[in-house]
Amino acid sequence: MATASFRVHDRACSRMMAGEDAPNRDMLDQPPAHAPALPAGHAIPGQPMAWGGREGRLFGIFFGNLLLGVLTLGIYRFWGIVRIRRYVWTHLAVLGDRLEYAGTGGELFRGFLIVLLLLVPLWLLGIAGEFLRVLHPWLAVAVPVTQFAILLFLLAAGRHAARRYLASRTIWRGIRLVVTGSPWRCARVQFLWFLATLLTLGIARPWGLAAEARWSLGRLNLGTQPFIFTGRARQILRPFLASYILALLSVGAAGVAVAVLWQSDAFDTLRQMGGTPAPAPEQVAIAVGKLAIASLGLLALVSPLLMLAWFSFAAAAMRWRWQNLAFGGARLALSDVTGWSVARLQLGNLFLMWISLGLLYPVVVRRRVEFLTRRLWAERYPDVSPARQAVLGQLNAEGLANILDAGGAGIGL
Amino acid sequence: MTASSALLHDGMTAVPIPVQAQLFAEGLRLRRADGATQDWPVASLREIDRMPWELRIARAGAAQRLVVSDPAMIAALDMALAPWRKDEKAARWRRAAVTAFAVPLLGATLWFGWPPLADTVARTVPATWEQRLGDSIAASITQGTRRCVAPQGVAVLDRLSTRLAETAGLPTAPAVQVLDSGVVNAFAAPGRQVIIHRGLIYAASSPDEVAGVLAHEFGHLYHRHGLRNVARAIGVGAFVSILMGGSDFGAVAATLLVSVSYTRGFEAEADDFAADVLARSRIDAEGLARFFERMAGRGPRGSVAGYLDTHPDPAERATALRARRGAAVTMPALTPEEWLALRKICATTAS
Ligand SMILES: [Zn+2]
Repeated sequence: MATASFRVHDRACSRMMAGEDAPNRDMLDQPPAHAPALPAGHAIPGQPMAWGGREGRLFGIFFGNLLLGVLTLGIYRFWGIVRIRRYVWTHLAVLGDRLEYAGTGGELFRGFLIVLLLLVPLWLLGIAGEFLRVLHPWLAVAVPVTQFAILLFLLAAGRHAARRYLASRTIWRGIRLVVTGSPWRCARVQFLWFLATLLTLGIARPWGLAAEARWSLGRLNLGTQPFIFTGRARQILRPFLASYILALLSVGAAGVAVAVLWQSDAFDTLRQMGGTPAPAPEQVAIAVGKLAIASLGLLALVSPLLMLAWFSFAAAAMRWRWQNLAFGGARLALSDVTGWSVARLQLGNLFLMWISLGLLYPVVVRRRVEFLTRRLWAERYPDVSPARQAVLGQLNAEGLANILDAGGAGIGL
Repeated sequence: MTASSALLHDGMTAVPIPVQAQLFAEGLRLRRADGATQDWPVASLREIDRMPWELRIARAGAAQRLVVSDPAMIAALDMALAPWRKDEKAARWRRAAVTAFAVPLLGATLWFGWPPLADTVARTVPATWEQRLGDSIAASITQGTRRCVAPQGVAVLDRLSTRLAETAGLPTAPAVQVLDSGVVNAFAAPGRQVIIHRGLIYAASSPDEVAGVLAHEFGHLYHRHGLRNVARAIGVGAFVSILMGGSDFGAVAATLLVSVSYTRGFEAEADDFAADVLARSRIDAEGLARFFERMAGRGPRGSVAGYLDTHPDPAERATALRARRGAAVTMPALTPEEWLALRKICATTAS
């Protein structure tokens, strides 16, 4: 894709189009490298999103939240999330206009309480299970499985409810985003796909992903103007099968290697340890050392292969999601999203959270946002003129996905 | 009056509308290119966000947004917004004050309100379920350790525990067993199970001490402490882990802290029960008191581990027991022959 961007071209254009008196925002300070508003029909590929936030400010908010969270026994959490989001949203420019976050901590807190009401029966079922397993042994299996199934269903519903809520609180140029569709219907679809994926040993995954994309991206609107998602499962079938076969082969290879090790004399030495004549201590040490080196080697061989399989498919799926999305006549695309870049993002984030015990969360937020804003392209300037403000009903806040930590920072939009 | 150009998002469409903005003392007048005007009263102006290069404002309750980037206009609007900003700040402080009051209140309510609630839940559990739970717990504990089954010793122990249980009025006959292990310990599992380690019988210097420990454990059975403790701990763990957003560390720490403080209450209750049962059985509670004191000499006193130990200070418990001791005539719990038989209970063991 061409490296020309809205940023470069649009500034020149905007001055011409907006006339003498229009606000010339390019000249002021160093705002997010944002592209000013442009008329529809601009046909040069460009980057529709830009991040202008500072990590230092995010850290300030984050540590303030941490302190207040401790002082309020964790209840401040909800207001803290809102502060972080408000900062991220207002520093994220789309086509030159910054987003606005309109959610409140009170809403999140209420959503949390509703979710508690949903989770309490589930939790009681778990406790009842502890007692019931004494009565009938098979209940020891049935109760956790039921609990897991209900939880999965609630989680899927909660995820869609969270999407709806988050969209409805995101405002761009005065217009709210809208995600349509009932969370319960979404949960039913997701649950069936989960079962299908389980029963087909994963083969149904591309179709499950397509269903998920139709329920998330395919139901996203700016006011009344829809985002169009045209992705089909067969488009990601090839990368999926490649990763699937690679994963199977590496697991198979690991199995063979373990079988070979099992036959080795090192294992024989260990097996004789209890018997007579017992092997000498140094023989045992050598055997243990051999086995340790062999299993480390095995791990070193298999885990990169598994990771390659995992991340290359994750990248393919990510590209597929965005490439099949269009808005206002402009198709979107991701550039430079490879297995390696996805691995760098996700493993890097895991590592940052791990070494800092979560204190580097602001860095993770920045990395996630920048990953998207730097790679997202639109083939042309979208025509947003059909969009009208939508009338919204009451929406419950996103509690479930939040409690169960599935929502992330909600920056996937 | 300040005037500048600005961009209006009209709240209905996503196409920005260039307007001329004029700020008067009464409010903001926006004039479009086609001449149409609208007025936003000063009191209705709300700040959406303020950047060094850009100010975005809204009209209270409306979806319209105005984006201003002219420095003079931003400065003028800053002045106009000052009273509203001040109100917002005051409201924030009010909220903080209410929170500072409400959070400790909520904490105290939960702290004191939860135990009775958990006890109520525990009481609804049928006794047979409690028994099966306790039996399975006891079975998992005794697994792998041999039980002491010398017939004379078992007979003595059965007689002693039947006598104490009848005096105590336990709803079900207790199942007391001795494990062949040197640990100086005894405990009660939910239902009817009491497990004594051989080490405790050896560490006791008189049958009164063993009888005292038995009576104490029966107190746990009588008050259903095992089940109630489980109910309380589960609730606290779940509550804290949900509140902290699934942080296990916080949940474990809080559960530990709470179970320490709750368990102390249970131990005192069981001691009371023991003192009462011993008095009615004409057994001297001095034995139990002395046993506690001996335990105090073993433990790491005053250390953090000692403080966090779920059992209360042994010296205090001994004092409390002595305070309740009546002047009634008492008899040794067992005859010297019976005591000897009990101490030899581990001469025969079974798995
Ligand atoms: Zn006790």
